[in-house]
Amino acid sequence: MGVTNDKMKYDAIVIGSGMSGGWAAKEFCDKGFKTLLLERGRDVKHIKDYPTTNMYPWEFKHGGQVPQKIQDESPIVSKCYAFREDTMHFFVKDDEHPYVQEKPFDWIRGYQVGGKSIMWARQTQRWSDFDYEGPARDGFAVDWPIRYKDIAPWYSYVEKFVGISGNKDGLAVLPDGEFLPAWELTCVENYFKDFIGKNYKDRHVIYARCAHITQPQPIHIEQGRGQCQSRTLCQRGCPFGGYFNANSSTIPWALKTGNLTLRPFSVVHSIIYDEKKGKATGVRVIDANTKEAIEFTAPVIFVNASALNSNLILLNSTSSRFPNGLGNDNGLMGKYFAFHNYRARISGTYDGFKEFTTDGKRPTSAYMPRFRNVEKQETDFLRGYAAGFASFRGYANEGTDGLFGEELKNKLTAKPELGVWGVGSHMMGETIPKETNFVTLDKDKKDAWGIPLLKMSVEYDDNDEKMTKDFIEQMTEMYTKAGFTDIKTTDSNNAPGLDIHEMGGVRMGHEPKTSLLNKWNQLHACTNVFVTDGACMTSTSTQNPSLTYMALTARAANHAMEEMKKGNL
Amino acid sequence: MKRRTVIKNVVFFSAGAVLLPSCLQQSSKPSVVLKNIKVSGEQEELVAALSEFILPTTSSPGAKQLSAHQYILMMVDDCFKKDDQEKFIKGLQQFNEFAKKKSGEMFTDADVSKRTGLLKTIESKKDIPEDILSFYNITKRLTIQSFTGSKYYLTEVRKYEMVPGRFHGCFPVTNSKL
Repeated sequence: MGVTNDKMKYDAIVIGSGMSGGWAAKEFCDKGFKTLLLERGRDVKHIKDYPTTNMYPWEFKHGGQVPQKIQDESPIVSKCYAFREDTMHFFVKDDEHPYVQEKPFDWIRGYQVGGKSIMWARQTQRWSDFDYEGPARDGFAVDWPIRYKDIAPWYSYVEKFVGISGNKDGLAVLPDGEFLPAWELTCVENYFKDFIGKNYKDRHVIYARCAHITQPQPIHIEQGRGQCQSRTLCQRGCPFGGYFNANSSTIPWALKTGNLTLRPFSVVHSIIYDEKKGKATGVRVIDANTKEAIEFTAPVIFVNASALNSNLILLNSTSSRFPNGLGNDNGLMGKYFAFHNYRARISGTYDGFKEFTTDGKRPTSAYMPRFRNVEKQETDFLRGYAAGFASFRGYANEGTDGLFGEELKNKLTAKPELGVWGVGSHMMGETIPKETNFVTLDKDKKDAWGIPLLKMSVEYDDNDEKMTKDFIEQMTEMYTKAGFTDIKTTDSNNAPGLDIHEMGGVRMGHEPKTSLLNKWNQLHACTNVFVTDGACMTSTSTQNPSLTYMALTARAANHAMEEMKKGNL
Repeated sequence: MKRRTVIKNVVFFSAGAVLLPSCLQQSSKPSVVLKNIKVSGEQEELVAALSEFILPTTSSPGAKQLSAHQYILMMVDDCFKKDDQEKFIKGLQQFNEFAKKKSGEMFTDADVSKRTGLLKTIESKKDIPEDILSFYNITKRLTIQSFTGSKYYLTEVRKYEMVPGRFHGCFPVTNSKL
């Protein structure tokens, strides 16, 4: 291994530069801690490295389509809704980083500075105590060691910096936050909102809160970010910094302090554990280009490599004290892995509001918070689902059958005829973490850097099947009663993974016997290692998880710094 | 190789080159580089003629001006599954013969009325060989795409807004620019 010198010593090391890692780096740097931010992929500088961001549709060679050769070579990432000609450079291709599917799992990844925060869907709904108390009440997984009151101030803290557009809805199931103005709902969305409010007690349709700056505050201007311009081209990276990603926000903020060293092309092999000191002392990195092994040291280490890769790094961090992975005394690491069930969809049409349409664009939609089993258990499955709700006015009579020549030309250039309103919803279902859903390291197969491949053994269960059926039934009933017609439902039967909400494997809990992390996201058995990305999640709830990862990270980083000041780390 | 044979071969090959009309030699290659499908220059001309007939130049640009034939070949080459590429190529190979059978002339030689009659027959979808129909449908769909996805269309016909900066959820149709 390389020689250790001052350049390799830091006050904090953060593994992973995405949604949560960027936050850890920002918090440490803000308080004067010399921080090393490790990223396995290339650097992506805000604006400069968004090559497609200002391209017009006609400038794309294939009209937005991903060429067939790339789809054939990467069938998994090609299933992802956001993998298009304008964004494909931000996604890992299947053959670049193989993994082992003991059971089918579609793993969608973004290996670059900013990670998947560049291409995320930007939905930011808070959790409530109906979520944090879920496992304890319903008897699955283990009790969360925190409650809403513990995280609420940190939700506020990150929301103010990120910039969240939303309405104060006053719902216990989805607590309000620090909101910038909301965009309008459409006529049909407002109609459905009123209809559901009048006809269903405790069911609500609201504006879906999202990480977009609709009215820049001084804190956003200070980051160099401006107002969202409703381009809805977000996944390309935004030249206005209108939505939140680590590249436009937390990382440049941390760099500006002078305390951050950002090191791309740094594949973390493992965390180094010192048996005499009884704590972790640093990380072992393989330079992705030179394959050289390098060690960096710091008194505190944050693991934010994305849920599955954080599991991988910890499982691969073995020593005689921890032969099964760092902090894995109880053998639960990699287990109780869970995700969100996004299988079902419903669509329909509404034959009203014909004198209205929409104008401009909006990067969010409406949202139905979970209404199943909220106050008490009431169905034959545990937990429930949230649903998106969106409406749009399409065109009518767009067919060109039988037309050619001038007739066809006239049809294509004539003023289009508006069709009826279309409506649609997708399911966001909670899944129950189980010991039988797990990830491990493959015993034989290794990647190009000598690191074992991750092996997934994750699948749906009976609870998921029942919940999917219930979503279709309940949504069909609500759509029908609301007067929607031409209703179509689908169950994609996708493998887990396309929700891109991998969670668990290194769960938080009260007890070292039944969990890996304490209430501050510290490994019970190695307290100077913190895990604050999806890997730490005890249960999944239904909300898009990034906001919760960011809040947990900011909270844990500030706790770590307090503990360091007290000499406890 | 014996000296005599080498000379014989050289003579034979160069004679062949001389015998081959130069125009054919030039047109035997398409104007776009294709990696997966094989298309000759003549076939490219057929695609160009058909796409221009489907979407002619009027007061607005037609297929020819938009180089729709190049777009069609490139898209089939890059973005189509092997099965669909084969259908397209088979239909392309048979198209002139099919036209001759139906209208008495190869499509490339046919006049406007014969071409119109042929396309009406194909659009009727009755008793059209599967490969011919596949080739025609793909060509038509991509011709339309090359038009509706063009800079002309998205700036002059249905204006594409890169930076709308607004969203109105309940906007009177009468005020809508569409």
